[in-house]
Amino acid sequence: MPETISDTGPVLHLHEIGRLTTLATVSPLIFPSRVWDELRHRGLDEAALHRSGLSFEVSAAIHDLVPGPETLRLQPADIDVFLLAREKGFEPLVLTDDLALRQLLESRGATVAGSIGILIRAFAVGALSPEELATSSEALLEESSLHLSRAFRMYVRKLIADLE
Amino acid sequence: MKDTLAEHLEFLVSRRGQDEATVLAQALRKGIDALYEEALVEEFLLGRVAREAVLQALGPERLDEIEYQRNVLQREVGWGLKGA
Repeated sequence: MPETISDTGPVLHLHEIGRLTTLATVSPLIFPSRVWDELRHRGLDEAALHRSGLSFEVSAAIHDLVPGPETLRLQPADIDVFLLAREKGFEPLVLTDDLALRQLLESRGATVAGSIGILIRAFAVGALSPEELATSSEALLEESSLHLSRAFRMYVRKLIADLE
Repeated sequence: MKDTLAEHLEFLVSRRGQDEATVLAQALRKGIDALYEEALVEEFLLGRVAREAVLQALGPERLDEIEYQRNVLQREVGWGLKGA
């Protein structure tokens, strides 16, 4: 089973719109411990993830890893995501909605996906109907804590509409 | 601290030593500039404004940021559809 390392954003945003189950397409997940702490602080717990059919583990081993200067622009939990991905040779899929972290990971050859990609994948595998994709993506844009400017929210709507 | 627009305006007038009309004119200009940029980016992303116009108005660095974020979203769609 391929590994997926997750940052806080995608799990939190999909939880906020009641679509945690869409993460099943990339489960099992690995959370760096600081990501797990952030998720718990925002009301997510083991039971909620298991109820959504997700398996996961929390990795604490990254405390022994040394960050380089490339991580200066990142938040602590994002640094842990980067270090864990680096430790695993940038082979696992990484989930994040943070552009700076994404840019750094992609520059090292990692495959990265975010909340929007997860919803589209769930649609592609039949876990979401076209109507559910439309309502879920709209909720993601307007009701979750995912930050996108109005211009990019409009662009995402166009991309989703073009799928139909 | 309870902040209101009126309190912010009063603060600016007193600290900058400018009259209220001058501060309001600056605020209007900044607000219009921000709204213009937002609308220009939206029109560019939707294919209704040329890249050159965004380059001229916002400069190469901002255009790079916009195009990077647009490409990220396009890759998100491509990655998502690969699951089919």
